[in-house]
Amino acid sequence: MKLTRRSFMKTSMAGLAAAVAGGTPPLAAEAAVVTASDYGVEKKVYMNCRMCAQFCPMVGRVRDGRLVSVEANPNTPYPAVCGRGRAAPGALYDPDRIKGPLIATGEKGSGQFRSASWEEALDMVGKKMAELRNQGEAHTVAYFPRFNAAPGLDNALFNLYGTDNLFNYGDSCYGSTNQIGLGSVLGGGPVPRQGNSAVMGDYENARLAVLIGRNPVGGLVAFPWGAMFGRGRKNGLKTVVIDPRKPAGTGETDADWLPVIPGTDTALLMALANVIFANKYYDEDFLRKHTNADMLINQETLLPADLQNPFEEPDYLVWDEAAGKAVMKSEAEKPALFGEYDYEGAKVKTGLQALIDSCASYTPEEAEKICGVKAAQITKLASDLNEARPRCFLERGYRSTRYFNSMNERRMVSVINGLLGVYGEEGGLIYGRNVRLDNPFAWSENEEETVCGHYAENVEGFELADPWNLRRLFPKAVAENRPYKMRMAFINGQNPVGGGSGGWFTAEALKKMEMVVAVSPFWNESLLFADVILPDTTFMERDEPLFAEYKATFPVLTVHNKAVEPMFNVKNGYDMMLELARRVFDEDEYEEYFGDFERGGINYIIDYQLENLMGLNEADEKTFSRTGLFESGVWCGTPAPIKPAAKRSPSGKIEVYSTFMAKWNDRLKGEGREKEAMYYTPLFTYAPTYWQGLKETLGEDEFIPITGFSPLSSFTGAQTRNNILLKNAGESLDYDHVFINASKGRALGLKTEDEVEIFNIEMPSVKVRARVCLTETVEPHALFCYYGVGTGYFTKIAEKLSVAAPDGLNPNHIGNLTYTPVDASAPSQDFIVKIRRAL
Amino acid sequence: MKEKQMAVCYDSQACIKCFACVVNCSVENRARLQRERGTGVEKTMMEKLPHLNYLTIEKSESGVFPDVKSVAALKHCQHCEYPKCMDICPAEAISKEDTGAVLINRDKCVGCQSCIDACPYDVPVFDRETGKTYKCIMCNDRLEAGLPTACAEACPSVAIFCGTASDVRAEAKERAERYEKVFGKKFIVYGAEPVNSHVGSLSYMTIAAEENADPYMLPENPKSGVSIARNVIKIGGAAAIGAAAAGIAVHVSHWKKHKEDSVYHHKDEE
Repeated sequence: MKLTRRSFMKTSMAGLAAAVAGGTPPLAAEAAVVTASDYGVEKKVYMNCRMCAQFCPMVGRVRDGRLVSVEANPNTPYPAVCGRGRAAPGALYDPDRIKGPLIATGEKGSGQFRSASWEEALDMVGKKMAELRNQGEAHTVAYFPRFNAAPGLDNALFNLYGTDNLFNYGDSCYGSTNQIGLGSVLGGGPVPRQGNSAVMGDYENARLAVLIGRNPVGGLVAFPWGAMFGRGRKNGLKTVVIDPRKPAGTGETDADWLPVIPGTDTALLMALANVIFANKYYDEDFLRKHTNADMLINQETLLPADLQNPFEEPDYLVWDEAAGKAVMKSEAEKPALFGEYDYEGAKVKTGLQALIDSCASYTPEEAEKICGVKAAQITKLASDLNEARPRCFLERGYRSTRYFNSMNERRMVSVINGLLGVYGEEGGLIYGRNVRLDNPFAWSENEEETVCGHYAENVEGFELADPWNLRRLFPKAVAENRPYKMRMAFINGQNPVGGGSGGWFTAEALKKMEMVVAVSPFWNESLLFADVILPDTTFMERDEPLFAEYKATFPVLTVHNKAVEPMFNVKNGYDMMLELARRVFDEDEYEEYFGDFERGGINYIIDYQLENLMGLNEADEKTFSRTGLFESGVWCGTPAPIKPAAKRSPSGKIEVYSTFMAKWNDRLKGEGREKEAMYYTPLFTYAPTYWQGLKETLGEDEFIPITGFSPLSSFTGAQTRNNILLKNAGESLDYDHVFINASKGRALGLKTEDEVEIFNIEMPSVKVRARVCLTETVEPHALFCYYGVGTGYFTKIAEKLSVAAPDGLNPNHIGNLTYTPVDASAPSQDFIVKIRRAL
Repeated sequence: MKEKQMAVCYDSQACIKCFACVVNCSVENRARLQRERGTGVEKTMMEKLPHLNYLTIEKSESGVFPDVKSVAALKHCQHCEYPKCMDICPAEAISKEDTGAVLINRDKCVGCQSCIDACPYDVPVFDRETGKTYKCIMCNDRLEAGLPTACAEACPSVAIFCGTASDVRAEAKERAERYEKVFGKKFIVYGAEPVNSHVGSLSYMTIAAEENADPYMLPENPKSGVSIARNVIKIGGAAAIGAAAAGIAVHVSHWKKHKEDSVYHHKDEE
């Protein structure tokens, strides 16, 4: 007999009765068999969490074929699943899930659908895709991947089908300005992009963390960053928060809050650099050994005076103090860090001197006028950093494109980290390591130029765009019919309408498609514009290949198994994609591309992945085994060494003076693009936001809409938005409200819980309703809302989601379709909204 | 013999406010419905059940921009050494277990809500649908089965930990001392020592900066006027119940003693 607590208590009571009657209660024997396994578990299943996109290794606890709860996989150095992840069963058993295929019966956006059989729905999609392919128009299918239905297979299928028109969400997230901002200093080839695990804050060992551009409390990546941050706090980590909104939980006793006016962070950073230079708070030894601070720079062009063999065997001109003349670094005895010199008739300075001079007049008092942060706080921050270095860092950021000047901000953060000498130091910024997995599916070279590639190569303002992360180009390209007309959209687990700024325009573009197909287990606003909806399984209902893209200092490889059988009339994404493939490819093609997979199943992919595993070092080889991996659900390899290193930069050094930026500054100026050149400079200069170009001062009812993650919501998908397990906690944080500064709100006659109408001053007809919360924790220019909670403009979706908030702001819906200069990322918060009491 | 007294500690300093604990507490209580009441898993995952959120979030804010303090505190039963809720309960539904947990026996609870009046921390909540009162049970069932409490199990940040009372107290004090050194201000381990004579020490302790005692709802001198007044009445009432009640009391202690000897085990014994 299994003994539950219920029967245990019953027994106890029976025991009492017996005792009254003089009998002996049979407690000992039964109670002694109470074991852990009685508490809900018959099976533990290794999974990777997809309540956001981070794949934190978890264990599903299954009983009677149902997922009872999840816990962190204990077999990593940082077992961690956050509040969102713990609510995974709430997503699985969400009664508002899409339960079978749907076909639209009303116009796009109306939310009217009828049920359909899989046969009918797949035929409809397959027929259209086959038709386009037969017409040589496969490339007119826009493909939007995200929470892939069939990881490994689905992306390959669309490439083999004939379209590389991939509209990836990275321009609103990881694939944005952050990558070049960091890469321009750290290096990374001719167009230096550094991903989110290139370097990371060593929270665990740091003494001071400056949270700018990312807040590890609300933010994602519980494994390992959340756990590292928590351990850091236990170790006595202090935090400084540079944010227009003070988040609870970054430290109530130890955090200094620097409430910066939205988009003016660079003013603060310049003044910070100013104080660092004025007080010699920089690490001179680090600058000499590991950076290009000694590089001589031509003062007219801002380019290196002489840089030979960039990337390969770089050597550059320095001022040799021993010889009293300019020589190549390789020949210099004592390269100068400071000073201005004459070289072949031109004025040259060291890179460091150029940086010093560029912010020499930018005192904290000057910065205060622009960024609103008190001069004394900036001075204190510089001094605190000096005391803590090298066990400190400025957060390297995430989803960093918020304003037109985000590129300057991310570069300045990376430069200041270099001045402080924290790269590759314990407690500073430490480097990540990964192993790489290959994919067994074929990949074809499609001839047709892609839409994103076309813009990146031909359109001014898109030259540094990442064509693989340029989702927000879709509405622009559709409106311009450039380079050709897009005819069909296939949305695979993505929410382009809700997830990127300018969502209203994306919705309009979807309306123009001959067919929109959406694969998703849950409703989201993009699905309102679909002609056919194909519900796939959640991650809890399917086996998946191995996964290795973690943001850790050590390589991580994980297993993901199915916890429960698919619910309702939904289909495993692999089956769905194969059935689609049968309708689109001819028999020979199908056999060539997918035959092996159809016969071998998921193990076909896993076997291939393991046979072609790349990136294991010698130490890893000793600890890695297939058996071990499957027994533990995860394998963690050797951490990257903690030592300063550049990543293939032009000078071979960490470039505190960014020669990449100097090159682009020179090029843009040469093309007469002075305005864009402000955002691409190696120096400390202030470049305005887009909203500052609209208005110098905001009206009393005007705000900059800022957003950030709540620990109880992730993206705009319904896995967290419509999750009953998150609702109690979320409501106690008012997570569906918009938060404004109390005195500014009172001046507008508003009080907490009032319903307001919000609109972008450039799009006054697109209005959103939300409840307001007055707070002292938001800077007066800012209007804050949690990301991925509010229903936003497309309120039809509220009819489909009974748990989600009926209203609330999603700034993406009403944001502009503007692009940051030259890298064309999403300036997601760079616009002005007006609010007024709703009628 | 192993120490029976268990404790949980919430370290507000190490907390990253991800609320995994709050969610997991709710999930564990849904699991209890499944295994104790036979409710289907799907059904337990479809209702809000706010009364089964034994850990709740209390948001507070003080000061004026930009000198503002905002705290998202966790509210839960403190598991007092002298539970006023137990003293006042006319149905003898509330017990203080050997683990230190204070439990409400759902089958005995008559829904009179006296415990709500008596609690100096304003913790128990009344659920109209079931007509019973609910509060954190310190996962007594899990502790007895050698498992950590649901909140401690969920914490990715080593901010909630549980174990034998002496281990927890020692770890908590060590942490508080470290924080005092690093941050140069006073930290308390609320409940490690008797808070006052009214509630005694607590089995659910909290580490917080002393300056944050208010937003973390850690009063220096917790009192409940109601419980003192009502206690007098209850003593009179209990006398009227007479021998029956006395008999039960005897056997409760008998059962508890028996359990101590044979049932109790925890993780490091397995």
